[in-house]
Amino acid sequence: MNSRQSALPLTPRPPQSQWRNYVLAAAAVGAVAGIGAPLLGQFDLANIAMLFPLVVMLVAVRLGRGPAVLAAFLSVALFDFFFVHPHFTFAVSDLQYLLTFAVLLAVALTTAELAARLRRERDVAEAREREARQLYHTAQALSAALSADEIEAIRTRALTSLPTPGADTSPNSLRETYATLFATALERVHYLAQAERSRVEIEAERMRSALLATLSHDLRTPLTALAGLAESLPLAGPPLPAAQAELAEAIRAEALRTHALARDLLDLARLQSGAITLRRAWLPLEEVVGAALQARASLLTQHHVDIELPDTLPLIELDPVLMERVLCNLLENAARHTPVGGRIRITASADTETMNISVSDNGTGLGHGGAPSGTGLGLAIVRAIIGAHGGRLEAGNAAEGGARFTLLMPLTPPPQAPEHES
Amino acid sequence: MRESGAPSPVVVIVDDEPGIRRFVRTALETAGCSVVEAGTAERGGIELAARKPDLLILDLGLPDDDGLAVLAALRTWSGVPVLVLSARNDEQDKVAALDAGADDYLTKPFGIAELQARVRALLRRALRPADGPARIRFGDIEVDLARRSVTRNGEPVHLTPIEFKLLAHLIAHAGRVLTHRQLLTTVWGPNHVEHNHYLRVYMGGLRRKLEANPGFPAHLLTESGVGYRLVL
Repeated sequence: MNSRQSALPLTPRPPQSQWRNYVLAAAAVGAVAGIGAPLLGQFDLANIAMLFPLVVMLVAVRLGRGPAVLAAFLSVALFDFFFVHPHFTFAVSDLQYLLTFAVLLAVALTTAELAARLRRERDVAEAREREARQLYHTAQALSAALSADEIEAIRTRALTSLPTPGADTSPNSLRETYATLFATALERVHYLAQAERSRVEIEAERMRSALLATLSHDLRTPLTALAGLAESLPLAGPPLPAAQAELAEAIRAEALRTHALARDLLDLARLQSGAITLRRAWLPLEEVVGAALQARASLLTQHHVDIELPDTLPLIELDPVLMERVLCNLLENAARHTPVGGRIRITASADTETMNISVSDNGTGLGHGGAPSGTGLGLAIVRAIIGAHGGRLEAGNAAEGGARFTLLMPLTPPPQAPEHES
Repeated sequence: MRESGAPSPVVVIVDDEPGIRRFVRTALETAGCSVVEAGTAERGGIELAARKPDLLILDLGLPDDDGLAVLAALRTWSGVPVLVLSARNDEQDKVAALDAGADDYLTKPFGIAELQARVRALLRRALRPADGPARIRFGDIEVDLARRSVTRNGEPVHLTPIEFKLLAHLIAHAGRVLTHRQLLTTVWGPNHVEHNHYLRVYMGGLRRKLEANPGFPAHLLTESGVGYRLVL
């Protein structure tokens, strides 16, 4: 038997039980001697001798190797003492019995060894079966476990039934098997939890988006009606007196302002929840600037707007709708903080990695806090959109006075331009 | 909007918000249209079949049916111009509506002047579907479509063949939005619908040749995320 097998737990017995086995073995041999004694007259001595290997074998099978060896020697001794002439002494008159003793001892010891080995193998097989069964039950329990805590409980239970680690009987491969089993179970629970978490997140995201879309629709619709109704008031009948037309116009302006506020709040919520996907497109910056100026044209009628975009600017990949929003907010901000007749400049420059886009004005400039008053929402939207593009917003005062907002947008190599045609 | 003596154009508006229907009606009646209102897609379908209108104004967010479905159903039997109203922020919705057969869109909130301009542009096409004039003027620019010539303040402007094709298509749909896809398909062919930047580069070129201030265009307008519009 090799060392790995001997390392298996063979249900270690307490010492007193070991002694009991030796006593039992001795008693069994004694009993055979007792049975054999009355037969001495009728049976040939050689036949009586055959009883001893039998008892040694039974002892080996039932009680193990040590008691069997004891039984083997005791058999020879008792055979000599009680059965071989002269009786009741260990002396031997006929030397041929020495051969009988030798054969008897050899047969008894071999039987003991073989039987003991059989017994050990049986024990090993039983122990292995027990382990396999336990492993199977543990694996079954683990497959039903839904949390790390449950796995920990199963682990504690399973490991207490294993021999203490460090003892030489510690079955390393079994421990490794258990370790793998628990690791796999923990991993499974972990990924399960992760999948559940992301499912919940996606669901929450979906609900948030749906809620924002519904809110957006429900707020915009009545405000659109309100603004439109106020605007159509002068059209609905005979021309309104100037004072009333002015009131109707004021109602319209307030409705539009409220609409813009609601839109900004909802958009900021959407942007900050990360629910915005950029629809990037390659475009000349001029196009977005033009769209923003066009969208805010009514606010800029009292201002001079200078656009200084060099012809050499590369194409830039960004979300045109969101970027228009950024420029609209910056233009609104500039128009609000610049007196009538003021100047607003839009400039841009680029190196290989960054495009700098500046909106500056000759108004009052920024306060010491670095942010103008009353424009938190608009600038927060600008920051969120620029951030989503991987860019940065710098706010400060221009050397020549007035506020300057600079967008630093990352540039990537543009796609192939359309073929040149004459 | 109305030629003297001609019958007034009929406009059907389908929107679930009575306030919006009300002011659209006022604005359009002032401009000489007769207006029929419907509060649901179902009602709208009935009015469309019964009135054979010259224009449909359709809200995309109807309570009983998706506006896009209404549009798709309508396009199977009618080519009536459709102006879509959208309260949604998403430009993709507008593009989807335009590609599904809508002719133009307005984002809520919209003003009466904007509404009237869109309606006028759509009715012009509907009421006079024959060829437009061969000579078009906008700003300092005069375009002679027959002779394929463009002048700016009387000075000839050289356009490349693609630029001219683009401009001619915009002129043919003046006042209306054209999506990137529509322009790319017409000018470059259906294999180039993904090459949005071609279109953008050429529009930039056209603006530099035709606009007084290409950075702040007055005629070749950008509808961000949707397409372009030529305003005469």
